[in-house]
Amino acid sequence: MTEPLIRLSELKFRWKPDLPLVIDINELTIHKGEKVFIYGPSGSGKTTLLGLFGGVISPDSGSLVILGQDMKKLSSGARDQFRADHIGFIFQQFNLIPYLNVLENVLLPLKFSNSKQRSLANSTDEARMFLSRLDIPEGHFKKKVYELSVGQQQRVAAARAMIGSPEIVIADEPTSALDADMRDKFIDVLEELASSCGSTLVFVSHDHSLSKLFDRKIDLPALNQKGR
Amino acid sequence: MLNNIFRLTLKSMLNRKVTSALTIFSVACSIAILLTVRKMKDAARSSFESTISDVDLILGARSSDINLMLYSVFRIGNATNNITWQSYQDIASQPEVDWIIPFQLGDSHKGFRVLGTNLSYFEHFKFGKGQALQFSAGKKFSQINEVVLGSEVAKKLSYPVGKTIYLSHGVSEASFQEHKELQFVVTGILQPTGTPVDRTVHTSLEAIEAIHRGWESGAPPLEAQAASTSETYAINQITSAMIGLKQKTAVFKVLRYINEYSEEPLQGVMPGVAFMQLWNIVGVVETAFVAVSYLVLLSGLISMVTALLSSLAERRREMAILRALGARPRDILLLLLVETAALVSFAALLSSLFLLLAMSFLSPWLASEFGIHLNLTEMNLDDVKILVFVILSGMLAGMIPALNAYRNSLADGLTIRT
Repeated sequence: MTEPLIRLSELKFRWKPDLPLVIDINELTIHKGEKVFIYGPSGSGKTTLLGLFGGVISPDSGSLVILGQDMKKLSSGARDQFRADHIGFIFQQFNLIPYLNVLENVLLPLKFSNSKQRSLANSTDEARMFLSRLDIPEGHFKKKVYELSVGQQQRVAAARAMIGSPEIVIADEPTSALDADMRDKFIDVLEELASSCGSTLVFVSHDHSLSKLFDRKIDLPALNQKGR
Repeated sequence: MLNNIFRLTLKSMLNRKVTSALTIFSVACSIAILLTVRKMKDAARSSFESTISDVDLILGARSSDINLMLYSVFRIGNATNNITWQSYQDIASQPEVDWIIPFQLGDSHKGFRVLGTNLSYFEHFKFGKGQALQFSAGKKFSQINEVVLGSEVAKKLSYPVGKTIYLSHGVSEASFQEHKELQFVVTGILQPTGTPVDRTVHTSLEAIEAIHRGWESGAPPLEAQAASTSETYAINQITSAMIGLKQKTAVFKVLRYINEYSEEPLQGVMPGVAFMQLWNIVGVVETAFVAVSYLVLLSGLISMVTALLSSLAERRREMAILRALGARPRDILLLLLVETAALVSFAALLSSLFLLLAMSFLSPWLASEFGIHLNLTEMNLDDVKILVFVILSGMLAGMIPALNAYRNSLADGLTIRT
């Protein structure tokens, strides 16, 4: 077994003291290099869990250790910096900043993380390399993002999540706007990129059918004890 | 990091260039209004005070300070009474008096006031910062049938030197009582001064006496006595006088002499004091103007805040993405603050440009029409202070959308809301 990357135990979270628990998970460990599919229909606490992973919120009780760092011990500013340095995000759709061109979008995470920036000898070359590997034609690099197709936009978002090779890449329903054929191809290339970057992929979706494309499947409604 | 925020902000603003440009324009307009009103206020005041220069005392029949000032300096209203030539000479012969200019008012020509005076007027009357009167054409009057026109009189009526005119009794524009006793000829035209001098017809005291023979009852004589240049006319009375002293320190002594003069009730006024009294009255209007222009500024800033707040709704997704990439809520706050700072700074710059442009077109017109001399080619320290104040208050107003975005980004986290 490889070393644990994300380990949580007895994790509990509620938005306000008088509201019910949204997260109540006994035990979950994600290991380095895994490609994990988390099945999370709406209402399963998916958004909250990703918020905890990303350090936007902090657990009320229990422990959450990411990359050996106890997240409860970090201030909110330090958690933001932790997210910038170690995690890449891909969202559902319209992931990109509309006023930046394709290349600028890919390079944007480096502006928030010195460690990602330092890890690259030449960030622009790196960005171009990622874009090329994701089949974005060279001629699109300086284009406005809305000139690209939805599929291309998602691949640009993937390049942005991967740049600087963060330890964790979290993809939140990245394929919901894509058709079936493009979806499988997108997941393939995402997994391939994650492997070559040494990143652990956490893929969250409400679409059960995608789980076959991953090594490991986590059923969030089963895992999350809230309300039981 | 700040550098990155700046670049992001500028790119974001460029992406919304129509809204940003309109916001900048509307704030710039309101700043320009504020700056202009302040400039006009200062200029109006200084041109008001530069109507006469170097005059230590104004002498007239007893009335109020302001009334004496209004009719003798601004040709507004009428004298309550005249003073005798004897009194005038008694004052003039005081050892402290350096020079004295007699004023005889009460007649007009086509709505322009006629001022009877003597040659010391051309020698001693000063306006602005001690500027003397100068002729643009012709020369001083020397015969009793000669007049010298202010620049505006000559321009409005298109009178050249050599033109013959009649004067009218009284100061109403529709005066039917023409002084047919004497036909006058224009001998000189003065250069523009931006003061009431421009709207004055000047002639000699003797001429005024000559055309008023038989008018002592206040009505025209049954048989007008034609005046002639060969006759001499004794001066009986004048309306007021302007006095320059050898030493300014003697002003209270001379003032007391005038006010305690026993032959008839006289009054002396120090122009500075009367100006201040007058300005206190005019100042209310002035303050109202300034208040209104601050309100315009406020509404400009409110429109900026409104535009930013409505843009935030569209930009919530953008903020969430930035947060996911590692931006702190503090960075989001900064993003909005930098934007408002940029908006008001551009607006301040633009408004200064507006002002310089507008003034280079307006100031010749203001000077010729109203005698208001605007000195706007340079921005003074006060203008810079105003601009700094505007930028600071703009940023303060920017705290509203900034805090809004900050709160949203805390609540939204990485959730993209649309």
